[in-house]
Amino acid sequence: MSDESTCSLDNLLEFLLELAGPGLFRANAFRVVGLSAHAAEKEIRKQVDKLQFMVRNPGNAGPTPGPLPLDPPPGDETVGEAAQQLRDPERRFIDEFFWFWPQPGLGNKDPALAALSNRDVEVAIEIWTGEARRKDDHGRSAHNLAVMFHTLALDIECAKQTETISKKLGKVQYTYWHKGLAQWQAVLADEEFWNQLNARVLELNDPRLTSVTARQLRMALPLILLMINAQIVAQCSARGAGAEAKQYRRLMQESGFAEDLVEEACGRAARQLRDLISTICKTAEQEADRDPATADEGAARLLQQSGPLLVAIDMLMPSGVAMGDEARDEVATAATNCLLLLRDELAKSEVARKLLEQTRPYAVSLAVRERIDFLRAEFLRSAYKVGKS
Amino acid sequence: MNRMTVDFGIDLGTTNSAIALLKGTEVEIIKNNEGHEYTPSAVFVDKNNALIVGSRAKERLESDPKNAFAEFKLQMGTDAEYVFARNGRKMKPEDLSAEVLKSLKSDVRQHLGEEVSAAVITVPAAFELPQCDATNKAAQLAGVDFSLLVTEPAAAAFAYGFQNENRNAFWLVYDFGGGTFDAAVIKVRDGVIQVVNHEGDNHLGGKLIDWAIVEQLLIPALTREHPLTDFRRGNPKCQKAIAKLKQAAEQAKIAVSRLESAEISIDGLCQDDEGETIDFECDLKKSEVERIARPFILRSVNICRQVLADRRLNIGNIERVLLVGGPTLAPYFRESLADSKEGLGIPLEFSLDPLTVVARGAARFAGTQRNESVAMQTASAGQYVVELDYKPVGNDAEPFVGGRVVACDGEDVSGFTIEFVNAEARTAWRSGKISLSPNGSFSASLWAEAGRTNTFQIELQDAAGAVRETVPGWIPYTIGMEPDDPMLIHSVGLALANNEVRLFFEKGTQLPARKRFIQKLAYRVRKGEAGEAIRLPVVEGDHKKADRNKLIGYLEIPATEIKRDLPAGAEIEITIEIDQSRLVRTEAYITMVNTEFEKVLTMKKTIPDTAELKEDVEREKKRLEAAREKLYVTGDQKATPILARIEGERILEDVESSLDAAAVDRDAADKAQNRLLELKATVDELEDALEIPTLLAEANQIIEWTEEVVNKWGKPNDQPKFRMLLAELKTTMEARVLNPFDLNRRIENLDELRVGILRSKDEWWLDYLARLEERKEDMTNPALVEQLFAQARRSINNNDIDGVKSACHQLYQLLPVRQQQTVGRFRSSVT
Repeated sequence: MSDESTCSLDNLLEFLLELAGPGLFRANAFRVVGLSAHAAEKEIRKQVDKLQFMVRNPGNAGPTPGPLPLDPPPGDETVGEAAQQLRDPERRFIDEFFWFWPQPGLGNKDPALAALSNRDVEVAIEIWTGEARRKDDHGRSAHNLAVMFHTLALDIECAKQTETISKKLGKVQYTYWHKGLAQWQAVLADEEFWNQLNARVLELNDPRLTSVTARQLRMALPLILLMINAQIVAQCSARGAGAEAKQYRRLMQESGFAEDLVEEACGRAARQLRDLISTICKTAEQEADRDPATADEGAARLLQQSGPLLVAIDMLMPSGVAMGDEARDEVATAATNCLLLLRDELAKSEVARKLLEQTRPYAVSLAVRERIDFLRAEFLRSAYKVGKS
Repeated sequence: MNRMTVDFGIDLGTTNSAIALLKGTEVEIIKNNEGHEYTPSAVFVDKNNALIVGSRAKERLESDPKNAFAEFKLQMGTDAEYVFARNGRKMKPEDLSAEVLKSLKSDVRQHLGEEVSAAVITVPAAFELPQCDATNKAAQLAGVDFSLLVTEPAAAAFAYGFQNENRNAFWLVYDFGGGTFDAAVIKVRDGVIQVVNHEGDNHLGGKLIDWAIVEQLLIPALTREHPLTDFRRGNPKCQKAIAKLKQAAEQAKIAVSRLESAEISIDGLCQDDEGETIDFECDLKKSEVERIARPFILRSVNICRQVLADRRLNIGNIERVLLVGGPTLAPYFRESLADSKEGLGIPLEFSLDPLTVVARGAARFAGTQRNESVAMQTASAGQYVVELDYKPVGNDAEPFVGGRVVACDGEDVSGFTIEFVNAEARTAWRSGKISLSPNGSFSASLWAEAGRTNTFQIELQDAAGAVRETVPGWIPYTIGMEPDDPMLIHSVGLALANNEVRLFFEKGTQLPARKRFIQKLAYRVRKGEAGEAIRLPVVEGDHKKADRNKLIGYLEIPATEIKRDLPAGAEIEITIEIDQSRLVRTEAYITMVNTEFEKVLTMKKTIPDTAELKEDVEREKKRLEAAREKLYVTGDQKATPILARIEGERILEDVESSLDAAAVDRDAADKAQNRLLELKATVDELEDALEIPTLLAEANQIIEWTEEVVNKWGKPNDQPKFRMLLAELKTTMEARVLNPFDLNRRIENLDELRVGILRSKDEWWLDYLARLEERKEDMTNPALVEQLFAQARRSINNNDIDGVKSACHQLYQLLPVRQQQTVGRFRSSVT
């Protein structure tokens, strides 16, 4: 293998992991444009033209909806982005992989997909369960079931961001999760399915796609699936839903994927949060530098924003302390740096001292703790002076 | 004549321009009144103050350089002014381009009796957004009411692609023009031509070779034989003679593409130092031109290889290279390109004339575009305008057509129906009556026959079934090769206050495109404060640091337009739209004041200031030297090839030589600026690669120093502190993914301990004072600085170490604050 192709694959893996999040199926370009995964370029172009016209002229009846249509329907910008995605052969290939494969030549007229366009899940399950037994199915139905259960579970997760769902729906969602992950395990083990994927690469006939792309996708799939859950663990922890976060953490452990992969997924999700904390710290310090009079507000905001993220890191990496400790030190350092700018603002001494008290528990390393203590004493002296005067 | 499709294509070139018309399925190049297929892009003012465009103007470039101008295309979008000495008339580059367009229009008028009101105009792929904007302005000034821009390589590909509808292949367009070079990878598949990637260099073209011939061959030959002091391109006194040499070089270069050598003979070129008139004669050999052209060809080949690699393609994936541009006519040029080692090693295609292929392709492309100037026409009483949304050419036999019917008097069209009729088809076809929605919109699928232009009559009926007259009354549709939407050449984003870029659109984004983002104010803005403003700088380029990209304009909201004070952190919703011709529209909405500010981005390509450029070059030299030293210390393997690239491509030398020519050549300053940005970005890359190795080397050094200091002078409780800080640093150094921030902080922590111990030593304070003295020039309040250093010296003489400490503390306070270091170059208001 040439160096060039190795380099490209490294990028592909990183790219795949960037996509791996709760929005994977909602952002799927085929779902956005309402077509099945094997739609021809010509068909896609026409569908995009129609959708964009409909967005501009809402009075007209749109094209027939595709499987599991988005609700509300996508806007002009989203349709444009989907069209853009589908022009890139690798991106299209990934979107194909994470969407429904129709029976050859049927497209959206495939009966199971037609059922899903009306959200008739039971009919689709029945059809695919039956087709899975056919010799010429080559794992297509198991793949479609995996995509369907996973999409349905994530749609409910998305609804949770804006509404409280019923306990019953919560149970349904958990069932979808289990079934989805089990189906993916079946897909991963089915050589016939992966041969089909290679055949698809040949059919697409683009030099930028090779069988190595398909192999890379197969290798990355377990981590992609686990990363989705790891990110949900992070989201739940950050919004204070600790029990739910634990449930998702457990789900990952029960998924049947190797323990070290589960840890890697959690580690990567934690690293993303760690980077976010770094950005928050940097922003707070820059804002305080530009407007030192409001440095206390910046420090308070920093502590408030980073607190839930630190909890999420702990949830993801309960045994690995280094990342959480480093992040805590960074938050404490940044908050201290902001408050340092108030040394000459006697009127704010007390506020600053109190904020330093709140900052102290974040500090892990000795040097950071000592620095806070030193500054706290300085503010205490100033506060005392102000009090005396 | 009311054309339903645009049909006219114009190649507005640096050296020559041409106009072509699509007639049915054939393209005709419209010849100028001298019978030539292309017109030199040159403008001259004659004795009667009349503006002359074309070959007569080009001839005057040499004999009357103060009244004739060419190559103004490269200055499009800048504030550059061309002043005609004869009448003092000042013209901007777009005014001059407009004159060229008017000349082409008049050729059409003369030959066809038709006024060109809509046209597709080509621009180099590497043209920046302000340059595209200026090209559109030139079209407007020339009376082309509706203009669409398409890149030159895309147009050329379309000219070839039209003949190859059923192909499934990748092509590479190699467009070596007069002043610019473009490379584009084209995918032809299922009747669609898609530009997969393109890249270019606005400072690479035939004229660069001409200049190299002048500077490397002709001037040395001249100064060898005649006493001429300071005879160089950058000397304004030599401008006229050098213009003659350049023109002679261009002609001789063309001649040696057929012959082994060409004679250059210029009578009365100039006068030597002793006032004697010089008649210059010289033989230019083919081998010399080949040697001079080689680095330029190599650079173009490197761009081609990069444009392929960016999209994970290699030479073997490309079926053929389409040659475009005058210089590619030369056999040595073609041989170099065909060579598999130094060139591309891909079969070359030149069946279409490389000088007119761009105009031909532009006309083909124009035939696929609806003529909006017709669509915009209004209906007279009793008529109905049909606003259409469809593609007149496509690969689909059942094309989609959307649209809206509007009555000229605002009449309600409820209950109306529309029907499309293809009466001339072998079997007449009707779409059936389609009901209009309450707002008059409709959608339909048509049915078209291949091999001819299908004409669909529009039949509009009111609720009672009465037929109503529409404008237009019919629409054309042809099954044929379809161009994909144009794409963005460089990424476009917003420069933030911390010099980072908020990316709006990535390179390769299909146009038109629209995006919306929320940003926060970086500092407080007071309402009504004169001079204060919210500044949103829009940049074009692919670098992470904002100031490494090109600033294309500002969306500026003066504080006088804001109703209340806005605190830092206030949210601003920013929308940016780029249309097919790469014109940008921006919009800002400030939530706190519930006000929307819609602005067309004022795009301007800045003319670089040579003095500033020189300062910048000096700074970059220092950075480069520092990075070179770090590399020497660390020997890092990742950084080594980056430095080799800077040295191999002679980027620094290129910047310096362009700067030298900038005094007399507007384009050279622009080139110097571009190469300088390239240098900065590469030095950034080098510094990034060296960051971690440098920090690790620093960490090891600090560990060694601190251990020594703790053992020698540390107090008992410094030992456990050292062990703890050392353990923290080691953990960070051994982490799987190294975080420079964490590493830096751990190093600082350990260093603080070391410095803390050293501070108890008198020698440390003397050393510290010396280091402060090195930074003396950076300090504020010079008078106080001098006073404090004097105080420190007195204290040293009196053995008063506390006096030294006090002076050091005060001097430290006079160093610039961090706040000043964090403000970005573009003074952005948002984070």
